[in-house]
Amino acid sequence: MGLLTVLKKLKQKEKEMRLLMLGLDNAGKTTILKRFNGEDIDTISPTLGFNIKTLEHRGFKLNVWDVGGQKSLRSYWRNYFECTDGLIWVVDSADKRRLLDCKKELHQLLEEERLAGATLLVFANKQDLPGALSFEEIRDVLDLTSIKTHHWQIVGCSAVTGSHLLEGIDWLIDDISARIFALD
Amino acid sequence: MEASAELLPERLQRRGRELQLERQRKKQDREQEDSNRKDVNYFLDQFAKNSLEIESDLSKLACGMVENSLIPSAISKINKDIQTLQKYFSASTMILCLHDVRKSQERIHILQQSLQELEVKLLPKKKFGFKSRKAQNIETVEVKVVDETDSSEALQKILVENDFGIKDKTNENIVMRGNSISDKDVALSNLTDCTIQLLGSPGTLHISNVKNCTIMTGPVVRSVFVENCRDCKFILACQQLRVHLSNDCDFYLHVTSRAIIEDTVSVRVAPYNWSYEGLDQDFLALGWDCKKNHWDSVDDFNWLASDKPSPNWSILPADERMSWS
Ligand SMILES: Nc1nc2c(ncn2[C@@H]2O[C@H](COP(=O)(O)OP(=O)(O)OP(=O)(O)O)[C@@H](O)[C@H]2O)c(=O)[nH]1
Ligand SMILES: [Mg+2]
Repeated sequence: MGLLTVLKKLKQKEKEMRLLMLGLDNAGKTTILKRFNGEDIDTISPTLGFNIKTLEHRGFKLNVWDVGGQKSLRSYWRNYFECTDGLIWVVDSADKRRLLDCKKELHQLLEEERLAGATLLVFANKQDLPGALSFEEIRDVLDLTSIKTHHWQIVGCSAVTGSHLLEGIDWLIDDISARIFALD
Repeated sequence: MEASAELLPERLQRRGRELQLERQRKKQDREQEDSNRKDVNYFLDQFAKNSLEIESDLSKLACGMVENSLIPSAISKINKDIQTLQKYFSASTMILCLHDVRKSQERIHILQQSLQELEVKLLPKKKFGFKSRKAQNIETVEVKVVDETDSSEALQKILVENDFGIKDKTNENIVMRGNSISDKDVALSNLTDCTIQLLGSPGTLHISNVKNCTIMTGPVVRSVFVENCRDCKFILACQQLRVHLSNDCDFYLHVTSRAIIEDTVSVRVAPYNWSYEGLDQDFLALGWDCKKNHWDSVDDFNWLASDKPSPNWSILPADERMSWS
């Protein structure tokens, strides 16, 4: 049996994925995570450090890491890169002031060697707000089409209403499983 | 006697079956373990073999064993080989222990670095040899990149110009109320010596570059950002408060989660004590529990030690608290 077949079998048995959720502070990362888990989202504090949740979805075990995005925490992001299958980049679509900052941080991340194999899902969050940019506008401002190093997708969503969250996660799971569970 | 004579063999049989099952299980475990170890060893062997090959290619390049005209293709081949190795490694991380992961990563990193160094050293030669076409190609690509940055910067400018709120004022008293601010993203910026009252419930509030002002607001649905402010009094109700790069400010707070400060000093906090006609309805409309106010628990992101409290914020003594009308 070749190594690739072995690897495929191993991962298939576990069906486990490691997802890393990053983005600027206030993007809504923790709110997305709690919404997924059916927890209360009205009393969430800015994240000092990180949260980790294991979610079961479509027979997969998703280990989701939600790391705080405040400036002083960004230098710690690197500690969470190891073995990441999927990177979820969360954007506050209504925060027009910081979109360039957001773009810079994202493109910097994509140069990280340890995230080289990860699939990228961009959540254009807070679509429920009247002032939110559409996901197409976010795609253009963040210059996503220039990304050639990673599989990527952008989905407009709202952590408050829950809309399109599943759609994004399902795409992510499909892309990752096509990559790591079907290596031949 | 008869009964036990019959029972004994049955018990023996059962025990025998159990033993057999256990042996089988152990064998399977062992096989699994063996097979895991085999996979790991296989990976390590392959990885070592491939990186050795790359190293030898690199050293051929380094000691000038590659003819000038072949250098570019040699470099791109090595580059590809390293990428393949990286992919192989990434796909295998889940069977490796942390030690092997680190070691392999380091090795890949060293390969990449040596290639980069060689590229820098050999690049001028390469440019000489392939002046016309290649250089041009590179240039057009660069121009395009600059273009794209420009357009997204321009876009960003337009977006921020459409800000809704109050800016560039000195020594003024301004009141905004009701529907004009309700659930809106309100920005207050570049203000000095002003008093601002927001009678209503903004969606988000951005306060930046504000000096010596008093700012009051009804309940903000989501976050309040405070940036580059000094010598101010803020009377705020909100879900989250995020303060950056500010100093010498007093906050009279109703906050349903925890307030945070970053790169900020000399902050004092007190409970929210503003009221206007309709404040209670505005609170009710958000469904907030009025008793849940965490005004006195501030997280300082520059003070991660948990055993000592942050020196950057304190509670405003009761006799120094002001009242507003
Ligand atoms: N309207 C709206 N508000 C949202 C949405 N998602 C998050 N928010 C609000 O945005 C604010 C920030 O949300 P958080 O989940 O704390 O943001 P975060 O990305 O975890 O921030 P850090 O922990 O500092 O990195 C909160 O006030 C949320 O209620 C959304 O989809 N729609
Ligand atoms: Mg958070």
